[in-house]
Amino acid sequence: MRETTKQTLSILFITLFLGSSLFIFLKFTKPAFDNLNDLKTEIQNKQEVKNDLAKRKQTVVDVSNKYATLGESLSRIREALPSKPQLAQVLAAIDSIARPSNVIVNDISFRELAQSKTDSELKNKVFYNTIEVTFSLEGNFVNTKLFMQEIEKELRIMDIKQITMSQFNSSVVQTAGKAKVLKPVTTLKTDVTLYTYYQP
Amino acid sequence: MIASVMVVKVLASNASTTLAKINQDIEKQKAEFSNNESEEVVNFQNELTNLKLILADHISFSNALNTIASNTHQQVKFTSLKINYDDKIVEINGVAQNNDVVAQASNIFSNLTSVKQVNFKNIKTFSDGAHFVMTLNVLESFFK
Repeated sequence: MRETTKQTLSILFITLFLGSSLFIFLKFTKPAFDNLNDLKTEIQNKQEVKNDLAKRKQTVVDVSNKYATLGESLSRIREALPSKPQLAQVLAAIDSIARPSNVIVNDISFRELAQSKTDSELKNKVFYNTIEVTFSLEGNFVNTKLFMQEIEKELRIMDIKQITMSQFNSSVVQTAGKAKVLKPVTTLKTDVTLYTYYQP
Repeated sequence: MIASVMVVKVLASNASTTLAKINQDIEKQKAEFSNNESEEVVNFQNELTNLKLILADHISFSNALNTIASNTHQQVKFTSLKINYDDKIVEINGVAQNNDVVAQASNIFSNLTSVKQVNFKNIKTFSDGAHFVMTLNVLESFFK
């Protein structure tokens, strides 16, 4: 074999070797490396998800434990903002406040108002429902004010939104000796609008 | 070159096993997560948030009545009173001895920090005195 043929063959073998190396690298090694890197990234992401889940679970368990130990406070919270309208409870509360306040309650009606719309500031907030209660009161100023004070202190949250107070003349039966007489008195009639709430 | 491919393949296989195990753990944790329990906690948190919101806006109407009663001119008799929290307006219909007393009554309310503005309308003089309608534009603090 001539020297030049040997050189040509050497160059050809080297070229073939380099070519096949490049082919193996591009066809097998690089995809395998890429696949390994993808798997590593996915493992990292999933590990974060797993840790986040564990943290959330712990938070739920902690809050749940706290919730279980609340006892009486929890029932008070539920009474202040019940999960149902509980109109009977509202009616009973108004009646039980009216009697010791010496005012007469008339024309009670209830109306559920439309739930507030979500605005940008309050997105993702769970809204509560509002019930409008309207009624009229008869009594003097001091007793009407006393009634309102007690309504404000009631555990079931009630917010008076509007009142219209006007005078009207009525009469009361008084005994003068053995006779009973009607004595004219001026009484206040107060139309009240109040809101109470529940969270379904 | 071929050996490095083999090593990478083995590492990838191990990584796949690890990933499968993590996925399994996530599914297990999700299954352990009681839906009722988490829903109850979320509801409770919402209740507390809303309760805070409602209590922050709680209105004390009796304070408004106290303010009106304690700042009423002695020679003025109110015939009707309308208070609207949403509009922050108090409308008082009354009778005074004369227009001068009406002006004095208005001054008393004007001096209150929780009253923004005092307006009058329909002032008419009758035999029993000056009948008037006084409108107070009030601040939130009037009801607190």
